[in-house]
Parts: sequence; structure tokens; C-alpha cells
Amino acid sequence: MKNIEELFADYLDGKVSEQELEVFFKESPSGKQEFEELRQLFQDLPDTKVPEVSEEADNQFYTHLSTQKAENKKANFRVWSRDVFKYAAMFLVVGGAYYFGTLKKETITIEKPIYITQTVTDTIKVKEESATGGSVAKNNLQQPQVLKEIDNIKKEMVQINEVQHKMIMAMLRQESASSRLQAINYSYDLDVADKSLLNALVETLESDPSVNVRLAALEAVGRFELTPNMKESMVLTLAEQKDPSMQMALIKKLVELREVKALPILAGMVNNPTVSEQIRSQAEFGIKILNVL
Amino acid sequence: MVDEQAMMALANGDLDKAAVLYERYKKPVMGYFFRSGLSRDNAEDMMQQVFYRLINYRKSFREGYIFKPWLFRVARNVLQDFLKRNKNWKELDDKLEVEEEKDYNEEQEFQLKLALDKLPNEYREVILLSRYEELKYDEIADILQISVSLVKVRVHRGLKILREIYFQME
Repeated sequence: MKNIEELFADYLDGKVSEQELEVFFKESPSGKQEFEELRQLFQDLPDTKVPEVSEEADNQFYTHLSTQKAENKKANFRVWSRDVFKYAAMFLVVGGAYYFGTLKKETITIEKPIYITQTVTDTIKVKEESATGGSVAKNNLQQPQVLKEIDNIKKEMVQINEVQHKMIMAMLRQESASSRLQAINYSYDLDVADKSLLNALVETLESDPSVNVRLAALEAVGRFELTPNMKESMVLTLAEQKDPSMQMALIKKLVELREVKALPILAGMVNNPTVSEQIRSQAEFGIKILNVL
Repeated sequence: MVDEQAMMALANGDLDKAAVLYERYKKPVMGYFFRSGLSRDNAEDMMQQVFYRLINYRKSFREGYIFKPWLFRVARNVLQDFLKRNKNWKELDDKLEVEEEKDYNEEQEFQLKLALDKLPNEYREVILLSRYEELKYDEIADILQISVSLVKVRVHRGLKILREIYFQME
């Protein structure tokens, strides 16, 4: 038979029927009153109204998530590029071995192995032999082929970079905010962004309908070197933004960029009573920093 | 998509699923902290900490785990850390302001809330998790790392102590 503690807890958990209760208290009626009182107390516990989660907290969470996604993507890219470099190195080692093997074979044929290791001598000999129409010059004709391969790889990398730029810009025009956020995350794969992409990112931070996308764009733009015009656009954006989290992020970024042109806007914010106190104090702090710089 | 599927996807690198779980659980988690006696701002900060940890420690979630008790175990750890850092947190919070923010229908409810705040933590947390988060005893036992029978004992004794505190206040 259950003890009163277990019976009570199981009752609250919906595991004891009223019938079972009756049987229990018939056999041990002493605990019935206490049981009823505790049951009533449990039911009377107040349903405290939990306040809504603020928009600011939501924004902070989504900004954090967006940063984590960018870092995750970067880490994945690092693993990917490490693998690529590993295979490229293997290819070069195998290719190099083959190349030098061929060279050695041919050198043996011409019975002048010293040319392989002694580069200076080799060059002199090449010059000498090519002048006299010797066979060593033929081996060195293969070197431009390797350089050509390197050139091809460089061209392919430029093409990949262009495709990445185009893809990001196309995604920034998507209707879905999550696609635009993803586009911004992809921009973290780039070490350098061209002017059109930077303009697109600046435009996104100025006027995207989603504040999360605007915040993410601001964070992403800060990684690249911006032109004075772009910085000026950000200053104008600060004057127009109404969202406090965006205002806060813009003030911090402009101060970080040492953009003194933001000073009049910041002064305007400090004197504007409709701007929240937190933002005004951040603006005031920004003015102090920019005046020192 | 059920919580466990979303969390497994997150653990496997699909970070977008964190947003799904955040939207589902931000309010219950904030409620847990708020009912534990934290001010609105502190409860919101703690709620954010929980979801940051959820992202950071996503890989510790394994196949077969149940999401809700796992999440509340994280929440409890966050609360414990907060209590360790702020040993006098009750004095730090502006009690009057906190109470004004909460909405009580009756004087009796208000008194019960005050009594609940005075209940020793080991009893209060089982009552909160059982009554408000609607967690089962085995889930609460999992969160608190104690046996199911001890959870049952704490629910019963906790209510008995609460009744005494309440009557003393009256």
C-alpha cells in the first residue's frame, strides 16, 4: 500500500483515481483532511502572469544566431579548404616527383645529372647549351606548363569569387528574410568584397524591412574596408533608423570606424527627448570618443 | 517537427532549428526564471543565456534524449550559476517594482506567491516544475538528478511547509 506522500504526489500526477482515494481513506482516515487541504493549496497556487519577451531580447538572440551561423560556415570552409590544400599538396608532390623523374631520366640520357640540383650552374649551362643547341633546354621548356597550370587555377579562383559575389547579391534580393540572412552569412566566406557587393550590403543595412537582416548586414559590412561614401550612407542611416537595437549597433559601428561625420547626428540624438535614454547615453559616449580621436 | 527532431538537427549543424526551439520555449523558460523570483530583466537575461547555451552545447544532445527536461536542466544550471554569482540577489532586486509588475487577481494569490518565495529552494523548484512547467516526476528527477521517490516526497513536504508559511502570514 502507498504511503500518503506517494499517494498525494501520484494523485497530482493523475495516476490515482477518486475511487482509489476513497479506498485509501477508508482504511486510514486520519490523513484525509490534510490531503484535501494540500490538494486545495496546490490548485490555488497563483497563475503568475509571465511578461512577454521583449523585441530587443528577440533581436539579440537572432543576431547571436546569425553570428554563430557565420562562424560555423567559416569553420566548415576552413575544414573544406584544408582538405583541398591537402589534396593539392599531394597532387603537387606526385606531379613534382613525376616531373623530376622524367627530368632525371632525360638527364641520364644526356648523361648530365648535375643540372638537376645545381640551379645556378644549370641556368648557365642552359644558356650555354641553348646557345649551342644542346638538349638541356628541352627539359626547361616544361616549366612554363606548370606556371600555366598555376595561372589556370588562379583564373578559376577568380571565377569562383565572382560566382560567390553574384549568388550573394541575388540572395539579398530574395523575399524571404532568412534567405537574405543566409546571403549575409555567405559574405563571411569572402576575404574581399567588390564595390557592388559592398553597396548592396550597405543598402540592406539601410532599408531592409527586417531589423534582424539590417543588424546582420551591419555586422558583415564592418569586416570590409568601406569607401567614404559608404560610411556617409551609414551616418544618414543612423539619422533615419527608429529601431533602438539598430540605432545602438550603428552608433557602436560608426564610432569603431572613427566616422566623425556622425557627430552632428549623435548630438541631435542626445538632445532628442523621443530617443530612449539608453541610446542617448550611448550617443553621448560616442561623441566623447569621436572627439578624442 | 517535434522538439527532439529539431534539436537533433541543430546538434548536427542545422542552426536554423535553434530559432524554431527559441520561439517554442522562450516564454516557458522565461516563466521558470520569473516564477523563481527573478525580476523581469533578470529573467529575460537568464532566458537568453539558456538559448545561447543550447546553441553552444548543442552537440551534447544525444539520440533518445527528451528535449523539454533537457532544456530545463540547462535552465536550472543557469539559475544555479546566477545564484552563486549573486548571493544577495533578493536584496539586489527592487522587490516593490518586481511585485508591481506581476499581476495578481486576488489578495490570497498575492499572499500565496509571497509564501512560495519564502519556501526553501529544494521544495520550491519541484513545485514550480510540476505545477507550472507540467513536467512529470521522472522528468523532474532527471533535471534535479535525484530519485523519483524523492521528488514525490518533496512535492508533498513542500506543500505542507508552504501551507504553514501561508497560515503564519495570515
